[in-house]
Amino acid sequence: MKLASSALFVAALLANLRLGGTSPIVWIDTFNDEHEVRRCLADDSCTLTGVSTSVPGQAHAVAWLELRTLLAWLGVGIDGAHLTMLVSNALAVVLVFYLGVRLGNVCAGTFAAWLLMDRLDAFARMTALYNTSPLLFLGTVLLLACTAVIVRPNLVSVTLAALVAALMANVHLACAMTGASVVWVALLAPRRRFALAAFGALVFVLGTFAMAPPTWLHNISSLLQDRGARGHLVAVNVAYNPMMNWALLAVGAWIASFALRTDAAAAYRRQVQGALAVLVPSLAVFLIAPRYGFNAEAKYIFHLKAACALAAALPLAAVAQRLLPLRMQQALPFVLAVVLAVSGDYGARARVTAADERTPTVADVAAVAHLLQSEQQWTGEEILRNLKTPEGITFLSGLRYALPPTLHPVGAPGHRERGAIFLTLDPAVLPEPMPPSWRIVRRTRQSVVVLVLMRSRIDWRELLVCIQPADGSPQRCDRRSWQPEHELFVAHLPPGGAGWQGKLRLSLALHPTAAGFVDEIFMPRMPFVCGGRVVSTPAGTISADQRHASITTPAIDQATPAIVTLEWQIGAPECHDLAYDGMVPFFVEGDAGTVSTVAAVLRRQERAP
Amino acid sequence: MKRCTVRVARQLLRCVLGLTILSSSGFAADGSDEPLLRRFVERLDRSMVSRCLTPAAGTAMSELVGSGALQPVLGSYFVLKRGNVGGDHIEIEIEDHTHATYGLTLALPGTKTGEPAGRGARFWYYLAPTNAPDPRAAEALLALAQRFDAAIPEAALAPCAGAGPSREEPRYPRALALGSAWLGVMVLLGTIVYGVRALALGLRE
Repeated sequence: MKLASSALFVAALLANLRLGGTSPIVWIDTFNDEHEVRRCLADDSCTLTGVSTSVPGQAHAVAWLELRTLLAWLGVGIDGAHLTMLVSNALAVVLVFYLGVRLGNVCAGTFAAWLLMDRLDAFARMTALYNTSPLLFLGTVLLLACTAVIVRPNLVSVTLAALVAALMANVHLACAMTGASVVWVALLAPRRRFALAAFGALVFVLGTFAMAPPTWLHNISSLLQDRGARGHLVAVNVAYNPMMNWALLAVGAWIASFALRTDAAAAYRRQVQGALAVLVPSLAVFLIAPRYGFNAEAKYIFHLKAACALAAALPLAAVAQRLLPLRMQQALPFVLAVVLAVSGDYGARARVTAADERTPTVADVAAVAHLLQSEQQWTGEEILRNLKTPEGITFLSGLRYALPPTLHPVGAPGHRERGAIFLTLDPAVLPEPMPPSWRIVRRTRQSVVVLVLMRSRIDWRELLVCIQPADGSPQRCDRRSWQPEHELFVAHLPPGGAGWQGKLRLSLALHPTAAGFVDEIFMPRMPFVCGGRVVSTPAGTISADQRHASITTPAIDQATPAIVTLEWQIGAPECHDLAYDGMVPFFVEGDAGTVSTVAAVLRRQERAP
Repeated sequence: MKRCTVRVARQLLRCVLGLTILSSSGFAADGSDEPLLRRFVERLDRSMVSRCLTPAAGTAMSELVGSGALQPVLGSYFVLKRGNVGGDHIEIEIEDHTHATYGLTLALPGTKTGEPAGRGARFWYYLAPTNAPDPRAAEALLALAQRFDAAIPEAALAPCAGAGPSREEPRYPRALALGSAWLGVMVLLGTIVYGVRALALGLRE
């Protein structure tokens, strides 16, 4: 079994690396967590209230933030923390295999390991680092702990199971029902069952509360206050997720086993007790929650995957044991290891892998920051202000963490005409040959991440922001300075993601430049990018569709600043709610040669299926 | 051992009962018929979770100003110039006949550093450091603060839950977070070792 476990660990790790990549994507949750981690370590100021959940008024994840803080304290950064999650997922595969073998046979272990890895991408964004990431491993440890309570029901086993459950409840609020699993397995003890169950419940409650008292007081208080307000929530349907079929098989087999009055059926019921105790309480809540308007996403049952895998694997293995010769049964874990290692994502039936991911990674952001600083001699402030990307606020948040604090000089970096854009493109649309100002940051089978350097004239230090809400309110204009090293958002822009509708108009000054210089503006149409139009330029031409403008500079005129005015209709089809994130929407401005090439590439990508 | 356990259990029970009686007597004082549990949690919550002022605070202040009840405090020497409600504090400003202004901040306990000039039922009072040294102004400001403090109902304070935990939430030292994380890791490792051993030995038995 040791050889098979080792083979499965290596194979699962390889498969996890293909699914998750070596660096997590830029993800707002990751940076919110990182902010807390840095504040805790650098300022000696840590939270015990955690972060907001998607359930209004509820907070969680203190234990997750503490674990992230510990890793950071040990010198493990964001990439290292991500790899730690992938290694722990591989360890979960080994633990589930062990459980399956101990409770059933090699077939049960192999099936459980495969079902654990099956469609991981449907439950969590494997390329991201957030508090859902450790749930596969933690759920597996809880399964082991609950099974240990059944095998050895005593104070030690119940305490450990209750503490693991408490830890999980403080990693993700979705794990709050794990306490019921501990009580369930304690009640199965042959002696002192009620005392053990009460003890388990007490340890769980005290442990959960003690890890983050402000979180739970906040949550309970919020629940009591919002109790009346919940009434207006509309029931939603349970979204399909791949665990349902296996859970149905597990519960169905367990019920059917009562009809079979055999020793094997009785033995099976004993074996599956721990897995069902972990699976059923949380799954029941998950199935009921949509009736009360809660969006039951698959990630909320990610921690049940191990229990479901084991509960479904045991009856499958009972059948396989009869059908397969012993040698073939012994070979099954190695076959699974080869499938996972060689075909990786196919073995895990994943539809989205790191190679399919189009969101940049933390490593991409760090590489871009390094390139601009060390090669192009940009200051940190210039990078935050003059590097533009369709990724918006998330990328900018990542940049803030990628840039060392010492490279954040506060103050004007000078009026240097330079800009850069960061794009993720289809490999097929890349220009041939690649212009020298284009740098490839990373290439996968699905996408190429590029940095395009250019001359840019827009002075981002000050903007005239005019907004006109669609409700007929009068237009309001404010002149705003923007210092992204202090505040990522430009003040007075409409809030993103809040369903705000109306017109946003920005007037931007252009740095004076030498006569004869021609720069261009291109307003792209990309998924999740708010599409706008050029309203006016100081001199030059604007295309009929107002998406392309060419600005000529006849002579240096320092007295009257050149102004370009751009407009976005937020809420219109080309700028739907999800496309506008509260930042200045992405557009391309720079020297005519570079912008023309970028525009041609982006237009090709627009036309691509 | 058994006798000791029973004694500890009795003491615990006494504590719980005492706490409950204490809580319920406190609640009865204001004649509220809200559920006991809810009020108890709110009291605990208030001491540990950051709270924010709701628009009801502004309404209560406006009603107090409109009622004329502040005039005896202000007299003919001062006028109330400004009253701003924001997040976890209220700023008030008065002006004397020479147009010199004096400010005071009513802040929820623990949200503002420095020694308060006074403490009320819900707020601590901080005189603005820019105030000219005028004892009459300080006296008037503190008296105003007490009036506002008394006028703002408990319902005007709510956990800063709208957008999640408040930025001004209570913070804890790094050692606590790291210690807790180490404990969590130990629990996980201990569970794995114990679980694997229990399965190996238990199933054999």
